[in-house]
Amino acid sequence: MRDGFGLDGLNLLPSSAKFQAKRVKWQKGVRVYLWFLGILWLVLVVVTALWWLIVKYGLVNLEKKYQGVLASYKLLAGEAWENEKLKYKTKVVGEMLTGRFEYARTIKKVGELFPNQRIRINDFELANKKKFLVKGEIDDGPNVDELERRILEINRGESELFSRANLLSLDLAGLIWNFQMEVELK
Amino acid sequence: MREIEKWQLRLLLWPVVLTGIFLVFVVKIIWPKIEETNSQLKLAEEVKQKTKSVAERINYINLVDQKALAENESNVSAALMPDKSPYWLVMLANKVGENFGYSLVSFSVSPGVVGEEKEGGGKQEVRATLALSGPKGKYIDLLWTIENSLPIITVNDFKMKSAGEVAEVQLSLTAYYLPKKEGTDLSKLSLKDLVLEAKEAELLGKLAGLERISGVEIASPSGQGVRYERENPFML
Repeated sequence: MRDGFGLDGLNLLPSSAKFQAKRVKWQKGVRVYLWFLGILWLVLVVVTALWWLIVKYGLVNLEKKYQGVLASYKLLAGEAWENEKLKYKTKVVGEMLTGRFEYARTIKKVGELFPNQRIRINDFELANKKKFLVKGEIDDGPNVDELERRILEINRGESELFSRANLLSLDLAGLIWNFQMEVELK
Repeated sequence: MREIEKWQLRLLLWPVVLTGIFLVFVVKIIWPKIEETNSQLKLAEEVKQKTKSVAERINYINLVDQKALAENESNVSAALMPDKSPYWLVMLANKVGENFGYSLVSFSVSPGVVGEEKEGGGKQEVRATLALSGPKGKYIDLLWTIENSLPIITVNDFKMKSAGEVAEVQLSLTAYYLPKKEGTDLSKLSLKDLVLEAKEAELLGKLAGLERISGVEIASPSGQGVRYERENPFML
């Protein structure tokens, strides 16, 4: 049963009493609200301040630790710069060697064109960094077959060093066969 | 709708005012403090990362064998020209030639831009063209040694003429000079700037196996001219 109301829901209190009851009810509500607001305020202030203090303290400690580590690192400055210099110079040297064409290595490969000593290379010219114009001589007829066999072998892809060979000319001068061919490196 | 009475308004005044003050307090004091704390948290994370990074660098430096570091530094420095003078390059090639019975026939150099050396600049090309004459049977060895010694010399162009057993080789060469570089600010140096990659370590191994061309001396210019007090012959 609500205060001031009968069992049948009728308001039996006089109007001033009704007013007082309403006023008290309102005052109670406002008090509760103000308490709630005060507590919320306090909690907010305490939590924020604590959080701020904890973070600040942690940061100060981390900064101290960092300064300590940095100080020991500064003691190793010489070694650090040596390592940096080495890395930098190695990078530069690496760049210098990237894509560098090595004539000697390539010419040595051309020297391996004919393992048979009776086919001699007298001269060669680089058409480009992959293609050679080779001039040579052969002592006798059977070795001309050897030259042709070698060209076939290269063109069949059986050579590890050369990808293509092309016989440009073959002349007989006395007992010596002079030839001119084009060879491409792999 | 029921009208609000005066006493009710008076009663609600304090909660409304205090709520307003509370909101102003939250917006003006609490919220900025929360933001400040958040930025401090971010800062703390950055400091943590920086500490970790510096500690990693210290560990790496402590792990590096100082003797090996010095050897590698010596080899990689030897791969570069000790002087940016192209005459050095000519002298080096000539020195190699002498070892194979070759002698210098002619040379040409382009000194490039003459001026102050720019510290910390990138690599500088040193170019020279020269002709050497000597035994034909040794030209591959000559070329091989030039290309596989320290300092590293790149043969840009190679031509050979032979007459009997004598060959004349024409070489266009390039080597590189690296101006001195000051150490980077330590705090800006990352672990990546110190640690050698696998291919770089492999390259250093390769350099260690190369022979150095030694015995080449070139007088460094003193920069002092000699003044001869001669009379101008056109004014006589």
